[in-house]
Amino acid sequence: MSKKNQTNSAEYMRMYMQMMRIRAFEDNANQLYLSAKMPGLTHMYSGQEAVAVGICEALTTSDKITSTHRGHGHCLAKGADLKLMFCELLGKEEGYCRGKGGSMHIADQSNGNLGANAIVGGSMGIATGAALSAKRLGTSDIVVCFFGDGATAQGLMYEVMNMAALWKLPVIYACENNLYGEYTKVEETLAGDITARAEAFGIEALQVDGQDVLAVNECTQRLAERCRKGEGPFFMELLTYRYHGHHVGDINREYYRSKEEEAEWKNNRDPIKNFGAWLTSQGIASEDELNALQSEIKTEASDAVEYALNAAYPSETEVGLHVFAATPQMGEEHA
Amino acid sequence: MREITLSKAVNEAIAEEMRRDETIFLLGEDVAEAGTPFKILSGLVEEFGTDRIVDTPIAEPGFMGIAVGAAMTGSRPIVDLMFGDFLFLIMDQLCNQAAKTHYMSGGKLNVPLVLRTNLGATRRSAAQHSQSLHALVAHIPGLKVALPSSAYEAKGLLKTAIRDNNPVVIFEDKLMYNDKAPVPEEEFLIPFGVANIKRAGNDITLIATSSMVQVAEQAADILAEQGISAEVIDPRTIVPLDEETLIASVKKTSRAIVIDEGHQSYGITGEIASRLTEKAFYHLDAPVMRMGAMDVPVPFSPVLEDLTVPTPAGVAEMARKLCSGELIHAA
Amino acid sequence: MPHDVIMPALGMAQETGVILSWLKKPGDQVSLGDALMEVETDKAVMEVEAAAEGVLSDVKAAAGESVPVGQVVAVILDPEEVLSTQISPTEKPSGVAPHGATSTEAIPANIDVTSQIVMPALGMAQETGRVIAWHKKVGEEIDVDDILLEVETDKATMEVPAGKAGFVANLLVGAGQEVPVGSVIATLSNVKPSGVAAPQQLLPKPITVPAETPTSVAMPSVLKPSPKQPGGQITDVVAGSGKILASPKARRLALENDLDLSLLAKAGYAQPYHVVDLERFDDLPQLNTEKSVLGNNKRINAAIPVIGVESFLAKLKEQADIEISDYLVWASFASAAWRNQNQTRAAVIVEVAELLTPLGIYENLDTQRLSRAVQCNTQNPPNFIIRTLSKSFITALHLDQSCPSITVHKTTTDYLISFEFSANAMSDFAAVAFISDFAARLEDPLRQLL
Repeated sequence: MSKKNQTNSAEYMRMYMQMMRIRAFEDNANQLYLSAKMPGLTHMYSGQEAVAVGICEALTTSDKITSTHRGHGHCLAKGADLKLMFCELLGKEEGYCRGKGGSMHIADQSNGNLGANAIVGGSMGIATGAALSAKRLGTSDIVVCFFGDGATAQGLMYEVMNMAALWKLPVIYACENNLYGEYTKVEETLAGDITARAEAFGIEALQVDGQDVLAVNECTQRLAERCRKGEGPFFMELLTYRYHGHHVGDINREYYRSKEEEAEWKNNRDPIKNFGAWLTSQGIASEDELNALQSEIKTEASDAVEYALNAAYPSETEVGLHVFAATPQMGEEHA
Repeated sequence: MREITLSKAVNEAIAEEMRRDETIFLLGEDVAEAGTPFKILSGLVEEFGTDRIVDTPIAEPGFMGIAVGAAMTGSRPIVDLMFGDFLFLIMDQLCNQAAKTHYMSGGKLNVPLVLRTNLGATRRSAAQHSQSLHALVAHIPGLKVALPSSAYEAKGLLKTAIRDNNPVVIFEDKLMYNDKAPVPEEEFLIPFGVANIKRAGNDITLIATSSMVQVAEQAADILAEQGISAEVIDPRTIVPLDEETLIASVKKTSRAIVIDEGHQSYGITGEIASRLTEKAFYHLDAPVMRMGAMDVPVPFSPVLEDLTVPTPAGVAEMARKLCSGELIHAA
Repeated sequence: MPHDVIMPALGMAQETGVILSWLKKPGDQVSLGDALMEVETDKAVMEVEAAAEGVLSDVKAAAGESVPVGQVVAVILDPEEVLSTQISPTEKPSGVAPHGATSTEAIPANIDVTSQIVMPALGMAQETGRVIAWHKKVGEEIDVDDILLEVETDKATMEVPAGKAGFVANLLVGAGQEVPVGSVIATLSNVKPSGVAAPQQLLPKPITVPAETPTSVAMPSVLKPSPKQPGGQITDVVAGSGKILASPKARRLALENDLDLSLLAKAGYAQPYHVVDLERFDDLPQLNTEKSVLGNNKRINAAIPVIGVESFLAKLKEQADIEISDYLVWASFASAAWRNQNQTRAAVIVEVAELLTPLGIYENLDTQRLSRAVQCNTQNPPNFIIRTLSKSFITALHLDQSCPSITVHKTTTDYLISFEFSANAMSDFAAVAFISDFAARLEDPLRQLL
C-alpha cells in the first residue's frame, strides 16, 4: 500500500467504517438466518468488503451501480441505511423495496443502486443501458457493473461489452473473482483469462488485489475520471474471497473448499484487519480508536436488527400495488 | 380523411413523439439507414441522428437489457425487435427484469420502454419467422400488450405506449405494413383498455385481435348476406383488457367466437373465452368458441400454411352453426 | 450483555440438531471463533463457533440431547457479568420458536404495533377514491371482515372491509375527501388507544406511495360490490326422467317462464335445447302445461275379496273378544307393505281418514297391537294416506294431492282399492309393487301375521 498524506485520513476512516459496517451487517444477517428469523436465503459478502467499498468510495451518489445476488456489500457501500436494509431482508414494509424485493432484489434508487439481481449476469444489460442513458442525456454519471467470475460464462456479458466498446459508454465492468462460482472452482468452468475477454473487445482491463481497499479505490478513481472524459468502458478483475458459503445454508463445504484455504484468507488477507493495521502504522488511528469504532458499529448494527424485527409487515393491499407504474392521463403534457 | 399505410402511421407516431420528448430514442437492428427490413423507419435517422436512432449488433438479449437499463435511468427507449419470433431470445430481460423491476423495487424504479415487434403468418417465412407470440408476454404481470389492427390503431396505440411509464409490448401485423386506413392528421392517442366495437350486431359477437379483425369483418359481411347480424369487437389491448365491453356484448347476443392468430391452445382465445363463459354464463345460448392458429409450427409450403390460420369463410361457417343451434361438439 | 448461543439452522430442511459433545465447559473463557460444541444434523457433524467473547454459562442442554433449531442452549457472558453456573441436563429447554418461525413472534404481545390502512384500488382505471363514510370510530375494535368505510369510485360506491383486526387508532381522511390510491387513510393498533385518541405518529420514515394505476389484480376478493348478484338458484325442474341438456340461457328462460323442459323431451324434441326451442311450447297444446312441480298423478286400481279380512276380524272377535276397526287393519297391512317395499327401518307414518275427515295418524302401525293402537303426535308428514269410503256412496276419490293416497271402497264381495300417486313420489314399478303387496295381505291376513 502506498503512503498517503494525512489530509486523506477522513476518507480512510470512512472506508474503514464502511467495511466494518458491511461485516457487521453480514454477521447479523447470518445470525438472522441461523436463528430462523429471516425468510428465504441470502448470500454473504464477508471477505469482499474492500471491493465494494474501494469502488463505491470513488463514485458520486448519482453514479449508478448494478449488483448481484451477493449484493448487501454493494448496497451498503453505495450509502444504504442499515435499518432499512434489514427491514427489506425481513420483508418489512419499511424496507428499501417495501418488502417486495428481498435480499436478492434489493435496490436503493436514491443512492444510485439499480438493484441486486437474482439472475447471474442479469444486470449487465441494465448497467450498460444506464451508461448509455448517462451519455445520451449528458449527465456526467458513470456506472459500475458488479458481477462475479461465474457471470463471465453468460452470453449477455459479451453482447453488452461489445456494444459498450462500440459506443464508448461510461461503464466499468467490475468482476469480483472470488475463485468459486457457487460450488465449483473457477478453473473448472472458465477457459482462458478473464481480462483477455474484455481485451478482445478493445476494452482496457486491469487486475487488482481485491483485498486492498486503497488499491481498489485508487484504480477506480483513475478509471472513473477517464470514463467521465468519454474514454470508457473499462474492465477490472478484482481478486478476492468470500468467507461464507455460496449462500447462508452452504455450511458443509469442505467438499469443494478446504478449511486451510479459508483460514489462510481469513487470517492473512482480511481486508479490514490489514487496513486497520495500516491505519495504525501510519498514525491515522490508534488501535483503541479502531476498537471503539468497531464496538460502535456493532451496536449500530444490532440496534438496526432490533428495529427491523419490530417493524411492521406491509399491509395486504401491498400485494397488488406496483405491478404497473402510474402514468399521466392521456392528453396531458408529458411531465 | 387522408389514408396512410400502417408503416407510415408507425413512422409518424415515433417521429412525433421523438420531437416532443428528447429522452426518447430507438434502438434495434438495421433501424437507421436501412429503416428496418420492412422500411418502416425510413427518414428517422436523417431527422434525429444516429444518437437517437441506434443501429445495434445482432445481439437481442444485449440490446434489450441495455434498453431496460436506459429506461431505469431517465431515457425512454423504443426497442425494435425485427421478428416476434425473437421474443424467445429476450425473455429474461423482458420478463424477469423489465416486467418486475417496478414491483420488486417497491415502486421506486420505473421502466418506461416500448418493445415494438410483429406477428402474423402467411408470408411464406416458415416456422421461425411467422409466430404470433403475444400470449407469452400477456401472461407476465408487469407488461402491457397492445395489438393494433390498422394504421389508425397503430399510430394511436404506439403514441400511448411511448407515453406509458411501463414496459409495453406492441405487436404489428407484418402482413399489413402496406395496408392503408384513414388516419387523422391532428394528434390523437388511443387509450389502453378500451375496446372498439367496429360493427354492431345482435346475433353473435365476434371478438378478434390484430390481423384477425379484418377476417372477422369479412366474415360479418358473409353472415349479413345470410341474414345473421354479427357484432365485431377489437379489444385493441389485451393487457389491460376491456372485459366489460366484451361481456356486455355477449350478454346481448348470447353467442361468441374469439379469433386470434396465436395458437389456439393455451393462448389469448382461451383466456378471453374463459372470461366470457365465467361472467356471461347465464346468457349463453351456445358454447363460446375459440378460433386460433392451428397447433402446428408454421409450415413453409403455401398450400399448407394457408390452412393454419382462421379465414373469413371459416369464421362465418362457425358463426352460422352457432346461430342455428347446430352442435359443434356432441352434447 | 449476555450473548445467546443457539442451535443453528445448519441445513435447509433441518428442524432439530443433536449436541454430540460440548467442547467448552461452563465457566470457560471463550474467544470469538472458538468451537463450543459439536452438533450432528442428518448430513454430518459440525462444530458451532462462538460468536462473541466472554465466559460460557447457563448451559441448558447436555450432550446427547436433540434441540430445536433456534433454541438457546447457552449464553456467553461479558467477563464482568459472571453468574453462578449450573449444568442441568434434565432441565427442559425453554420453548423457543422452531425453524421457520416468522419474526412476528419476536414482538411481545403488549407492544403497540401500528399498521396502516390504505385507499384500495377498486377498479382498473382508478387512481383516486373518495371516502364517503367511515363505519367505525377511533378506538373501536374491528375484525378482518368488518366494513370499515365506504368509498366512491367513478363507477359505484363500495363497502370496503378492514382487512385487518385491531383497534382504530387514527382516521386520517375525512368523509368527502378524495385521496390517491395507495395513500394511508387510517391506522390501526393492536392495543386499545387510551382515552380520547390522540393523533398517533405515523411510521417515522415517510414512504412515498405513488398514485397507482391499479390493475385488475388488486384484491378482487377483498371487496364486496354493493349491487348484489341478481337471481337466485337455478334448479333443475326436471321430474324424474333424467338430465335435460339445455343451454344456460334456455334453462334460465324456461325457469323464469314456468316452462318445463322435460315436456319437450317427452314430446320427442332432441336435446340439447336452445332458446329457439322454447318457442315449441306454443306448438304443443295437447301437452299438459299446467304448472305442477310434481308432475301428473297416476292411479292404480285393485280389487280384493273381502273374505280374508272379514273372517280374520270375525275370528278375533270370537276368540279374543277383540273388536278392531277394519280400516286399522288396512292401515296396518299397508304400512307393512310400505315398509317391506321400501326396505326401511324408519318410522312409517300413515294418516287414516274417512272420506275427507282425518281419523288419526299412526306410526309404525304394522308393529303395534291393533287392539291397542295409539296415534302419534309426529310433525313429520305421513308416508301415505288411507281413506275409507265405506260409509258413503263414493267409490273412489282422486284429489291430485302430493301425498300418496289409498281409498278403499267395500262392496259385499270386494274391496275396491284405488291408489293415487305422483311420479315424484314413486316410480310406476314401486307403486305396483306396493299395492300388490298390500293386496296380498288383504287377501290372506294370516300371511301378514306370520
